[in-house]
Amino acid sequence: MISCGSGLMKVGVCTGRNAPDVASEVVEELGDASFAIFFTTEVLSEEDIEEVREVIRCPFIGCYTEGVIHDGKIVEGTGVLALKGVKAATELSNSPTRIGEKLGRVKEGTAILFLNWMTRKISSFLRSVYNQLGFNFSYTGGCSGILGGGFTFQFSERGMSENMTCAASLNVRMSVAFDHGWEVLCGPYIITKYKDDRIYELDGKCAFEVYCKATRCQKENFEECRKEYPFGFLCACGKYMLRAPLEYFKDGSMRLMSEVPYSSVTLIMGCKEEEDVINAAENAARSALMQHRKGKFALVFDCVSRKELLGSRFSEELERLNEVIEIPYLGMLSVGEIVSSQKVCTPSFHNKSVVVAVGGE
Amino acid sequence: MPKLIDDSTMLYEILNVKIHNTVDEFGEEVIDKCSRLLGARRVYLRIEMNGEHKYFLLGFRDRIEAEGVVEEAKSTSRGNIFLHEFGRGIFYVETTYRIDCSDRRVISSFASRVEEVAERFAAEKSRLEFERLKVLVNSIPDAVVVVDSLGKIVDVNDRFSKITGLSPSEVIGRSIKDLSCLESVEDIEKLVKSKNGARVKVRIYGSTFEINSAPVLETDKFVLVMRDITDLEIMNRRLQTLVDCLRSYIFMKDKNLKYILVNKSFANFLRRRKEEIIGRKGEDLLPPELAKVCKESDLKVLKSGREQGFEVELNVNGEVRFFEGYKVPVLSGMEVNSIVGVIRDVTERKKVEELRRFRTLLDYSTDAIFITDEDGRIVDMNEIARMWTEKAGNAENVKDVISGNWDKEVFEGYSEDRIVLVSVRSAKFAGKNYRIVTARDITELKRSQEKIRKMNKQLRFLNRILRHDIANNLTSIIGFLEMYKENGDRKYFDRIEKIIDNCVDLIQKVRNYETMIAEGSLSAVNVRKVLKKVLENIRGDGVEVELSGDECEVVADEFVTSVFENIVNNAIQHNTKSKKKVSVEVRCCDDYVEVRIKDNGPGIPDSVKERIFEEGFIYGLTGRTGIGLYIVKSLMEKYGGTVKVEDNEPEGSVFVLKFRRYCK
Repeated sequence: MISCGSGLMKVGVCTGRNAPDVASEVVEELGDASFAIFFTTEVLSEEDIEEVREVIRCPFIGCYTEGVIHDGKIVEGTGVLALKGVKAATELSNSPTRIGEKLGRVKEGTAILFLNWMTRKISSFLRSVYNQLGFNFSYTGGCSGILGGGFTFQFSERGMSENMTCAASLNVRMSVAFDHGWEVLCGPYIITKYKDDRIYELDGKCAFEVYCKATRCQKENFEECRKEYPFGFLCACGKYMLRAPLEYFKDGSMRLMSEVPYSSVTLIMGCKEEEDVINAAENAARSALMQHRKGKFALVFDCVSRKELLGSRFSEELERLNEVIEIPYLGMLSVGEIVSSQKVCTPSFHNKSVVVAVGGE
Repeated sequence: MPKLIDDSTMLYEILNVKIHNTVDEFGEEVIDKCSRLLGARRVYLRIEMNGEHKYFLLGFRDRIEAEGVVEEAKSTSRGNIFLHEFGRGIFYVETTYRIDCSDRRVISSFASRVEEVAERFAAEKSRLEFERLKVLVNSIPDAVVVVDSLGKIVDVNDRFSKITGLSPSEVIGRSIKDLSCLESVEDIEKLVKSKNGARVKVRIYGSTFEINSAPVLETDKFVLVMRDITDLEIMNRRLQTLVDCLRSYIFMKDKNLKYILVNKSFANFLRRRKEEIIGRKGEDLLPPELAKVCKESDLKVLKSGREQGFEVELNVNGEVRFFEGYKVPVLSGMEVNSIVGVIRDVTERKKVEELRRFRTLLDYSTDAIFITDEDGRIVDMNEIARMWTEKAGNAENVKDVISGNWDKEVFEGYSEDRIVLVSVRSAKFAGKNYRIVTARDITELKRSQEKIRKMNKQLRFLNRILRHDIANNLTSIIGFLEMYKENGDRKYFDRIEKIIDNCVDLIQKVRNYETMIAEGSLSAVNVRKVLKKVLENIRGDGVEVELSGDECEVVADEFVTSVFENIVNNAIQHNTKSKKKVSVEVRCCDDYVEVRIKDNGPGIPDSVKERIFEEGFIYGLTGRTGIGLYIVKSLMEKYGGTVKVEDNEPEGSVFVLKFRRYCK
């Protein structure tokens, strides 16, 4: 159990096997919590949620993840970050408008969203939420579940669902930063034919052919290469917004993890050194912390594909994050990350990135 | 603006705004690029597309909030706002950073591109819409002409060219009045000027077109849509002919109950031309009472939306006629917008029904009823009459069925073995003269009457004997007894005894008469044997009898003995001679048997010959009851025979009895 606090806000972070137990523990430490975030690798039941609700007695949100990040390592079980002295609103819904309306009860601060990674048109979904809440909020969060596993669930004090978006607004403006460590390998390419999340043609040529030509990818090693070579899209924040390819089709088209921006230009990104990837995580943490020097707690969303890419060196990334983030934090392995920044205040959906959000008084 | 990773790439992407399939995709692209590439925190884009406005928002809850912000931005100058107004809309971008000159150039370029694409998009959409409309206009089977307010042709569609044989280049710019192929051009001009959506008909090369006009909004032009209604008119004429051929009265009324269509039969019924009926109401055309009934049923149909049947009896030209019909609502959606009525004159059918009913009654009649022409030829008859006719060998004339005095209106006639009472009445149907002959079978009635007559006669006979003869005899006996008491002379006893014998004889004969006259079955009787026995009884004691002739059988019964006894006894009783003689002769003829009984008595004077067979007639001193010969006559009548008396030569009388000969 890690806890800290001075002034009005108090933070408690705790991990353990059982969600109700960790909830009890954090409540015991903090007294009455006013908001809590749960990440769990356990499959919870409605009864578990009910038990957590009875113990914690405050708004909370949470989601299922492949791994809980805490104390510089991956933890199996449930982690909770509880806050005292904050105001929060939560919603569990499929409607971005409804989520925006409910979260708008908090006038300004941070919106934290946990989506099912299979939600269609995530960028449009996030923009609809933004239209309700506006630029007085920073946005963070991630998609829950296991990449390729299909199973996921999100929950709040309102219940749990496999397919709904779980969101909360806090009256704490968090500083959000992200980085990924990938660099331009080839491009730019004009996406000449696309529809929703599929790219058919790049510069008028078959998308998969162009992709293979630019990388070492072949049909046989696509699964391996797609982790290494995502597509990059220009972003006003100065960094590329990555989109991971998920599959290719016989017609030579490729499906990405979310919709392709209209009439956009893309680049094929490559990871030259694993060290760059690990450094990027550290950069993201430092950037967020720099923006909020009085940070009291942090949330980390680290893309699960980074773990797959880095393999055993992923622990290094976590250690580096742990070294940099000296305040209580809790993180999850995400399948896509949600970011807004000072430069681009609209929430955008990224892949293969580390997002660090720092909050405090 | 934040530092761009690659200025040229980003600039390219920013300016690479495409024309999408839908304006929504275009708006999505603008919003995406504003947020992702320009770092905009709020965006408002309004584009006018074909008269409608499309809105695309980022960072605004709704259009009203956005428009408030944009209006405010128009009057204030803030460093993070870019506002671009163009012909088809407004583009508002609000960033998180201060927009410097270089940023403004980029955003301005983007805005110009947005404007350009919006214009092109809208223009393309307008073009596509125009093309779509053109294809639509050219694909419709109607000819379309666009004219200005002066009637000058602005445009035509393919169909118009095909119909008139004039290409667009040949007609555009010319006045519609100058087109020689169009007849009734003046009407078209009126149509254009009327602006009220009126319709006119024109003829083009033998075909009929109906023209509707509609103004083109915000211009001085009109669209004339010319529909070829030639086939429709032919069909209408055929339908009208079809409807006119129907004998039923057919009409159609609008919601205001004005006639909008009638057939020939209906017009004839009202004795008006169709044109005089169309557009008028029932109360203008029908008798008030009928108009009222019609209006009520019309209103029922309009209100209920259901078919209504009706029957009405009308006096038409002094003749009562019956009509039945129904009215059907014609629906337009859920509302009744007109009524179709069908009326039939069912007078003849009613008459037939009436006749059938009458015929049924006739057939149940026990009288024979014939309907004949003036010559007696049977036109129709009831069931009884048919049976009589069949028995008469299917006679065609009633006079062959019934015989009688046909000069009389009522007479008794005969049909076969029936006695009938015939009544003849004249009648007129459909301008022709007929006779209704009613014949009632009165055979039984007649028999009963005859029986009653006979019984009355018997009663009178008995009454006379009881009241008169026996009473007289009793009075005589009382008189003789008084005389005996006075002088004690025994001769009065003789007289009394004789009177009593006479009474006994009288009573005996009356009793026999009743039995003999009563109806019974007749059989074959050998008269010669009967006569032999009768004559044997009187033979001797100064009476000579003689029997001659054939052995014959006659139609009679056992009382035939009484016939012969009465005649023979009379012959002896009235014969005062000492030697009395009675001779009987039997003669067999073809179908009768004659019995002649002769005596040698005093004979019967001619003056009483006719009366001797009357009931109670007594002649001469030897006459007794006056019943004997009456019984003879009655029995002979019963046997179907006759009796008469003649003088015998040289003396006496001869009673001639004629019997029906019995045939085996």
